[in-house]
Amino acid sequence: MTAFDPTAGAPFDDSLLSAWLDDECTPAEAAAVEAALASPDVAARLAEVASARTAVRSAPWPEPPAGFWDRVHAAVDAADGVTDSVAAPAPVVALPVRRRPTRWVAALGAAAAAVVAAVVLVPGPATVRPAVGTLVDAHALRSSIQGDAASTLAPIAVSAGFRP
Amino acid sequence: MTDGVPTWEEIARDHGRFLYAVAYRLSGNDDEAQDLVQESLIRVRRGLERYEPGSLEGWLARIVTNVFLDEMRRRKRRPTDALPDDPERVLPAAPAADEVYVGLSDDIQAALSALPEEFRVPVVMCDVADQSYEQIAEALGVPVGTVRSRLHRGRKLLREMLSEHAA
Repeated sequence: MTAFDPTAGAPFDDSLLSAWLDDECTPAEAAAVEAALASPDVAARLAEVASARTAVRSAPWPEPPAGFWDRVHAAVDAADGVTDSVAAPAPVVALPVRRRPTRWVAALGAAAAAVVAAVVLVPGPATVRPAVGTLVDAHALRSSIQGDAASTLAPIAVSAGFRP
Repeated sequence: MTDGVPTWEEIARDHGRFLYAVAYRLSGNDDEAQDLVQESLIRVRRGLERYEPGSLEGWLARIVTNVFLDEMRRRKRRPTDALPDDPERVLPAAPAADEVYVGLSDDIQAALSALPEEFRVPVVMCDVADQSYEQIAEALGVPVGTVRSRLHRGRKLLREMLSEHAA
């Protein structure tokens, strides 16, 4: 909110400038903006937001790399378990490379390994809590569906209390 | 196409560039944009049964934005994977040569990426995806007045960053 005309006691809401540029004002708001534009200060502020708006709108759309759409088609089909039953032999679906940062993946892998080691090596009650086998099975199922083996490991680590 | 509802393959073919452009402007890099588009098309495929013919690009913009916001929320739950979201931080370094940037959009993308998420999302939805304030408000679950305010502040910040970068 920026004071437009202190003598009038009515503050001018600068966000109306963007709304006016986007044709998102009510008739009364548009009239208020147009009246306010008599002020050089308001006109200058309008020019500033207009330049930012134009810059984003006029920027060329980025293009995806070559082969991207082929990989997407394969991945979307794979995600929903669609296979080409007519083609023989069945093609190997090349899933796109997941290029997420790997630092925490390694950390989670180590945590999961530690959980398994603790369960195997440390003497404990006959019944293991949490039910690691069940969790691992569930993780394997989720991983096969979601194609994301790492992010679903967290519940195992949390249940076993290995987080600081 | 059945009963005016396109197949997901038709959507990928006819609106793929739109999806990628929105994803790229939201995420700021090619790798994440590819992931966002892929996940969006998976959701498109699964959601087509519920799609009612109307503003297809509005529906797609909402899906890709939701995928992006879900990813941001996931990162916030795992701080080691989170991106900085400080409005005062400096502009990112120049992109690597093999990144997809086109001409003058380098600076604009850098400034967009430096915007806090709460301002970047409405700016991208309005100025890249060409959504109305009402559509943006509905997608984000906030009042139209909030969209108006965040969009204006986002543009002001963008203008300041672009001016500083040019100086």
